[in-house]
Amino acid sequence: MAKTVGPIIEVSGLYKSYGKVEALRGMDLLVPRGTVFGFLGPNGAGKSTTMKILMGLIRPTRGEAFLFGRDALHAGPAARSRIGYLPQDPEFHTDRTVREILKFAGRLYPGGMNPLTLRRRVDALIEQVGLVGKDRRRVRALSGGERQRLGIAQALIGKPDLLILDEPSAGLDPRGRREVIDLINDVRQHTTVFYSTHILDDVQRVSDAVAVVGGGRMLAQGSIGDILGTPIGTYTAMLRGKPAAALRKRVGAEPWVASVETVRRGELEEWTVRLSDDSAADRLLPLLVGQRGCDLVEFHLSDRSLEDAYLEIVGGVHGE
Amino acid sequence: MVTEAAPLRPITGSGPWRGLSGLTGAEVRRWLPWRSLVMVAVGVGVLVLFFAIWRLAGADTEANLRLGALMVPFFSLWAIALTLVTATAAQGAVAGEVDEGTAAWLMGMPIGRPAFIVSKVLGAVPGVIAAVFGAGLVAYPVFSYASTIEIKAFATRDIFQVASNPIGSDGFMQLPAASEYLGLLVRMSLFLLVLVALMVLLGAIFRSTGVVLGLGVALAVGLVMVGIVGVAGVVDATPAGLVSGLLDAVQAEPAPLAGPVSVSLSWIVALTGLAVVRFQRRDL
Repeated sequence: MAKTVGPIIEVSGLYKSYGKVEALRGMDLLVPRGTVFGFLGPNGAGKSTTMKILMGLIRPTRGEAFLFGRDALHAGPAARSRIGYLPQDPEFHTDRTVREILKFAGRLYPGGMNPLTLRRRVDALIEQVGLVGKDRRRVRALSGGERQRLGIAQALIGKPDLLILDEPSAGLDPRGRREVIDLINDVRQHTTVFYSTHILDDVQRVSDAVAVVGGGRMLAQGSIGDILGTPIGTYTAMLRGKPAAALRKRVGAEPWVASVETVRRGELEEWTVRLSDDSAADRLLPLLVGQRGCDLVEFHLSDRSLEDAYLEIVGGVHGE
Repeated sequence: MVTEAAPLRPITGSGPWRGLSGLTGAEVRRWLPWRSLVMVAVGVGVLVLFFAIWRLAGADTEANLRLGALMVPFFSLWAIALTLVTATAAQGAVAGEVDEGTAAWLMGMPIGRPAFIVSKVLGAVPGVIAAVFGAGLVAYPVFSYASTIEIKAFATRDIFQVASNPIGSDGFMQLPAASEYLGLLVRMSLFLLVLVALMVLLGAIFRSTGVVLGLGVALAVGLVMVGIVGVAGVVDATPAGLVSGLLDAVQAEPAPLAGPVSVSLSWIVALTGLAVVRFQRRDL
C-alpha cells in the first residue's frame, strides 16, 4: 500500500517560539510519499504549528522544512497548488455559499478547470462530503460539522498530491467521522495524506504510519506495528483456583516487574503483569507455574492498542 | 539532506500575484452594492438634512439663503461621514481576516501574499468611486436648483454681484461648473482610497484592536510633520493637499488637481507596498 519513494515532507530541527512559549523544540518529521500518515500528540504538542509552518502560514524561529524536496518556507503558491490543506477550525467568508466557496477555491488551482469541469467537480465534492441540498446555504448558516465538511471539500478541490488535514474529524458526529475515514481511503491511491487527530481508533484503521509528538518534538515515529511493538511488555496470566497472597507479593517484588494487577473472574484470577525489562518475560513464567492451590491456564503477551502505546509514549513527556 | 526533488507542476500566473483577479473580484463584491449603497445613503441623508435646514433657515435671514450656506456645510459633514464609514469598512480588510482565520484559509491555497494585500486596495476602487459619485451626482442638481432659488431671492439687488464675484467675499458663491464638480468628486474618491491603503497597512501591522491605535499613531506622525515642515509642506507632500483642495473647490476657488492626484497616487502605492512587505512576514 505504501509507496515509499522519498519523503514528501521532511522536517528537521524545527523551533518556533511565541514570546516565552516554545511551541516547537527541535521537531523532526519524515512523511514518506504515498502513505496515510497520522500525526498524534496531546493538545499543545506542536502539531498545528508544524502544519502551519509547512503551509507557509507561520515562520519558524529556526530549523528546516521541505515539501516535495523543496524549501517549504519559500515554496510559495507553486507548492501550495499541489497541496490541499484543512486548517484546524476552518473559517470561510461567511457571506458566501458553499458552492461559491468551492468555485472560488477551484479557480485558484492549476489544471485549467473550465466552468463546466469546475461545476462537475464541485457537484462531485458536495456529494462526497455530504453537503447535498446545502450547497446554496451561506457559510454563516452552516453548523460546525458542516463547515468541517466544506473545509474537507475545499482541500480536495485541486486534486492535490498531498493532503494536510489538521484534525479533520473534529466537530463531526460518528457518521461524519466514518465518512472522513472512507474519504481518506478513497484518495489514498493518488494522494499522500498527512493528518492530525486525537481519535486513535481512526488512526489504527486507516494509517500506514504514525508520528507521536509531545512538548514540541518528535517522540516516536514509524509504522503502527513499530509503535505498538516499541514499549515495555505487558503479560496476562489466567490462574484457576486461589493463588496464595505470597505469590503476588513475590512476583511484585522482582526488580524487573513494574506492576501487578489482579482481577477475579469467577473461578479464574486474571493477572496483568507489566515488566520494566521486556527480556525478563522468560523469568516470569516459571514463577507462575506449579504453584500450590492454583493452575496456570493461560499466559500471553497482552494485545496492546495504539491508545496504550500512545499513552505510554506521551506519558513520559507529561512527566517531565 | 533531501533525497529527491519532485518536479513542481507548471502553474499559470506569476507566484506573488497568483489569485489577484479572484481576490479582487471578491473584494469588489464586498463593497458593491451594499457597502457603497450605505455610503450613498449617508451622503443623500446629509444632503436632505442640510437642504431642509437651508430652506427653513433661509426664510429668516439673507445670509442663510445663499448657496454657500448649503454647499460648505454639506461637503464638510459628508467628507467626515465618508471618512468614518470608509475607515470602519476598510479596517477589517486585512486585520479582520487575520483575526477571524479566513486569511489562513486563503493563504493555505495557491495565493500569493502580495496578491492578497493588493486586492484589498484594488477591490475598494469601484465601491468608493460608486459611493462618492452616487451621492455627489444626486447632490449636483440639488445645488443647481438651490442656486436658482438664491438668484431669485437676491435678484433685485445682488444678481450682478453673484455673477461678477463668485469667490464669495460677501457670502455669494457660484455653482461649480460640471467639470470642476467632477474634479471635486475625484479628490474625495482619491482621499478615501488613500485611507483604504492606510487601513490595509495598519491591518498588516496590527491586529484589529491595533488599527485604532495605528490611526492615532498616523495622526501623531502627521502633526509632527506639520511641526517640522509646516502646514504648506505637509499639504504639498501628502494627501492632505486633497482635503485643502477640496475646500477650495467647494468655494469655487482655484484648486490645482494634477499635483494632489499624483502625490496621492504615490502615497497609495507606497502604503500598499509597505503593507505587502510587512504581510510577507506576518504569522497567520
